[in-house]
Amino acid sequence: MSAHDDWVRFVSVPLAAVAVAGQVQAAQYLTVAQAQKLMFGKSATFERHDLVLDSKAKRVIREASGVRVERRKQPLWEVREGDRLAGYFIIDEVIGKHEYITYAVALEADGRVRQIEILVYRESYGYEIRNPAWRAQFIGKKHGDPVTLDEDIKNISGATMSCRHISQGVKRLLATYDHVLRPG
Amino acid sequence: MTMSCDRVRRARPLLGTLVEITLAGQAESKLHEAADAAFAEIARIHELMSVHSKESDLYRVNNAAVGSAVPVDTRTWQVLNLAAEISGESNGVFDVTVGAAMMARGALPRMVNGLPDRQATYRDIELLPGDCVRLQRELAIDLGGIAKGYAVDRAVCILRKHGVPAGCVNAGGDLRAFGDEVQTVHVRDPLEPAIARAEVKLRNRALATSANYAGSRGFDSSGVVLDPRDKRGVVAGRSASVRAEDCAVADALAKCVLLTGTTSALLLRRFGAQGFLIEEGLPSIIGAEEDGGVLSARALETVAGRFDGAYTNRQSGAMIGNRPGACS
Repeated sequence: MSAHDDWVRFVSVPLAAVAVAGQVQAAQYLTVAQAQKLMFGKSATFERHDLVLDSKAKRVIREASGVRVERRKQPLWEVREGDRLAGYFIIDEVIGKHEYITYAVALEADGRVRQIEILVYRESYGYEIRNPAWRAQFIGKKHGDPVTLDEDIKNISGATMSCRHISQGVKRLLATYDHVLRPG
Repeated sequence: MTMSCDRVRRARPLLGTLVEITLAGQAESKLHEAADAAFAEIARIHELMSVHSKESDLYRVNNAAVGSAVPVDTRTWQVLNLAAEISGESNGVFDVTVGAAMMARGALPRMVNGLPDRQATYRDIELLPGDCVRLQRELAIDLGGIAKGYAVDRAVCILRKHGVPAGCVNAGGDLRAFGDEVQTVHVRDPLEPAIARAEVKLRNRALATSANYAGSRGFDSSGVVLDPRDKRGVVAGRSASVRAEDCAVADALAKCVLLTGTTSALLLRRFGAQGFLIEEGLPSIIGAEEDGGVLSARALETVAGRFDGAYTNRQSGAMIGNRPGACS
């Protein structure tokens, strides 16, 4: 095996070499401000208008999208280019069995998806994913603003990361747009 | 080169997974611009080759009348061409017509109107000049075993065109590093994803890992691998990793190694690739048995060198085309 050591080394090490127990992969890709600039350009302005979803709204959205609405408050920004409404910028999070993903969705003014960017990806094989206190540490006081992570981030091959939950999240957000934001 | 300049790391949900692009060596705004272009290319490939979409090239081919020529995008044609090459070299261990069995099993949505012929194989897909495809029998192509790698290759090509000196594109574990920097990649244990069993060094190389993750702990049920020869599922708990120059080749060959284990040594060598298996937590390198000993690193490099620039058809010795990921 030694002749192959220049390209592969067989090891047996936990990927969770970071502070939080059981955590495997952690990556911060973009901050909220970076995502806003990338998705709408430098000249756009952002005005925060979080959506508050009462139980009736939650039910309507759930029926329209087939996806359960967990949170009452949805962080949302109206985006303007001068006086013109350019679209909406939404921060959302989805929780899988082992992954917890914070992502941003840019919507055109007419509700079409313009772009999706992952902000934070966390993976854990411990209990932490469904623990709100654990998740809260990655979201700053200003809701939706992830903290900066500085651990060594690895390239990992094998066991595909799922993005099924993101697809469901986007479905839910589009139904939210239809119910709450669509004009007339 | 060290990655001392600005560094950018982005991720988007594409190709049914999380696609991550890490770039360095230019001003941040330039790197973001390049990443945007690379993501756009991956999104385009996703649209063309998705088995889930009725708008895709794949859907049109799968649902065209037998014997009629269907024009497709050059990229779709290139992927089918490379798939045919690997199918031929592997004697059908790799076969994109496994899509029919995947649909019958419910591992893929049923996206064909006709009834696929059980006897159909990759040989029933005819690739015509002018980027046209003609089917000889009713069948269902699934490019799940190769398109992800191809998308990574195309993304790397776009990034290079933008002048990005170094980086890595990782589509859910199928990845390719470019530039002078050596990238370290950890390969997970297929049953215990929190444990790394191998550490691979990549410099201007791709690595892809395949496993049947269905029914294993974690992740969703999309990772089903069927053997095209007997349409049976691959046992869970085993994973195969292949290193090659192109990610599309690594992706497809990883399926072959998963299915045929150590007997795939010659196949890997034909493509200048190397590989290993992880099973029951234990790794084994592919290549040792075939040669009565372990191949030296130098011998591997020599094999890799011969494949520079184009795939070679070993039977005829003819060059059968440019690498699909090559910049056009």
